[in-house]
Amino acid sequence: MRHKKDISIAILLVIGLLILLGIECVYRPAQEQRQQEYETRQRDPLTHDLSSIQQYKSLYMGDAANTIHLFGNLPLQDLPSSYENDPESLTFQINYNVSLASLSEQLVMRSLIYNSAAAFGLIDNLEGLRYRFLDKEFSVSRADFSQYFEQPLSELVQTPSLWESAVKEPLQDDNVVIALIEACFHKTSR
Amino acid sequence: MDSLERYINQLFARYPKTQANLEAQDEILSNLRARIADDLSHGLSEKEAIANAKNSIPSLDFLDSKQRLTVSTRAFALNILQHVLLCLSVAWIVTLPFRMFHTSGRILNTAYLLMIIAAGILYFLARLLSPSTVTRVSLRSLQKASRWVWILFALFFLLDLALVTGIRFGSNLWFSRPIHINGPYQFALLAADYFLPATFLWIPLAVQHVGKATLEAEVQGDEA
Amino acid sequence: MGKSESVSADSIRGHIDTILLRILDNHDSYGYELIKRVSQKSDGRYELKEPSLYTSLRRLEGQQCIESYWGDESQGGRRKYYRITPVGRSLLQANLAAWNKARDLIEDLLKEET
Repeated sequence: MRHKKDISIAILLVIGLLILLGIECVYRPAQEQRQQEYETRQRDPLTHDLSSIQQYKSLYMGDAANTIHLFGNLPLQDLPSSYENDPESLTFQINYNVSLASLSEQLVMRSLIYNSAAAFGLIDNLEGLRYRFLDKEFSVSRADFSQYFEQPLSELVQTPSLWESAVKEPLQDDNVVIALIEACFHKTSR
Repeated sequence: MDSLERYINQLFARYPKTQANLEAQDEILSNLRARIADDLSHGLSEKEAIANAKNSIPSLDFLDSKQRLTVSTRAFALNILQHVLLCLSVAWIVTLPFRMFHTSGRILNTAYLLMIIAAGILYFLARLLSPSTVTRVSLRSLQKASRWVWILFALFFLLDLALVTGIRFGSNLWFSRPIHINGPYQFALLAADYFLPATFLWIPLAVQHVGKATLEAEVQGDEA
Repeated sequence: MGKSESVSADSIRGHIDTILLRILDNHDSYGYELIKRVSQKSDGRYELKEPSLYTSLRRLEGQQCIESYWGDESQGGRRKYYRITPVGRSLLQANLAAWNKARDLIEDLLKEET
């Protein structure tokens, strides 16, 4: 009788070991890899996942924690940054602790457009955004920005298909990007 | 004679089948039968004789209340450790899936693995014990301990249940908001929070088994 | 049973061990036979009850004054026999001596005052 129990234990342990190996050596590395790839995609406006930020919809830019979380999930999220809130002018400022020269200009330009679309779309009373790098500063107002989109940004941000066609796709064309930046964004050197 | 034997069996039903108890049962029965035979030879009816016999043993209070017995230490330890290993192996396998998505689950599962290794080491060490070493064990004390362990486990589990429900659904209950579970992932997380503490069931089950292990490991011991 | 009889049952209780040792000193015996012998010896004045018998037998066996062995199977089931040991014999003698001393002392103490 005791021998039978010993065998059962041995069988259970072997099964467990196989499952453990499957989980730790196959599944989790694959999962980590998937996570890495996702995070990489999140850093690029062209591949950013809209659903990851929809939860940050808010009526008030004064809810600073919410706005900060939003930008924490948008492209340029991995740059060292600090934030400032100006409730009087309803402007939100992000201070990037890097110089623009050290970054890919294409990525930054695309991100500025993408992030602004997301922020204006999700945060109802936000009026202005200021992106401050060590060497340059970009500011944009909702009025200037939204006129370049056919539909209201708040609608676009709720519909992935519209978001895709109205916001993401145009960013693939560098000419469109440059034009939009020139038109809406106020650039100052520091 | 059957009604007498049934009576004695009934008295002994509440007691564990230790060697001492089985022998006492035989001895008491044979002495009662001798008494009945004697009464019959003195002219009493069978009904009266059997009633006399039953009245002479109204209860088994005179038995050893601690229900002590002698066990082979080696057999006892091996039996318990084997059962513990079985319980732990099941608990380990059952908590393995949670490694994939639940942090505490991963920690608990690793803990179970460590416990298995520890118990395994003890199991092999116990095999080295001399077969002739014996230990005296009190079944009554074991029963009491087992009952306490069950009570403690029940308390722990209920407390944990209340805590988890409070944390997850407290604000829902307080503000009368409906409970939303978006998707299988959230459901799995919730299930984990409730299921993982339940695996500690292995502890009272193992303690309960110790009583059975004692009986299986009993050896003929000196009455001293 | 009259009150005087139950009083004597109490006063005998402390000596049951010695009483059983005495009987076993003579020859081995089993449970019911011991009860019968006590009844015979006391002419029916004292009936040893089973619970007291078994308690006493276990105590004596624990003290190694007696040892048990199983007899042949009869129609009533196997019987447990008891035999006295040398330790039991010495205890028997010691208890008898103590009892005699005590009885003499009490007799003296209960003598009429003069």
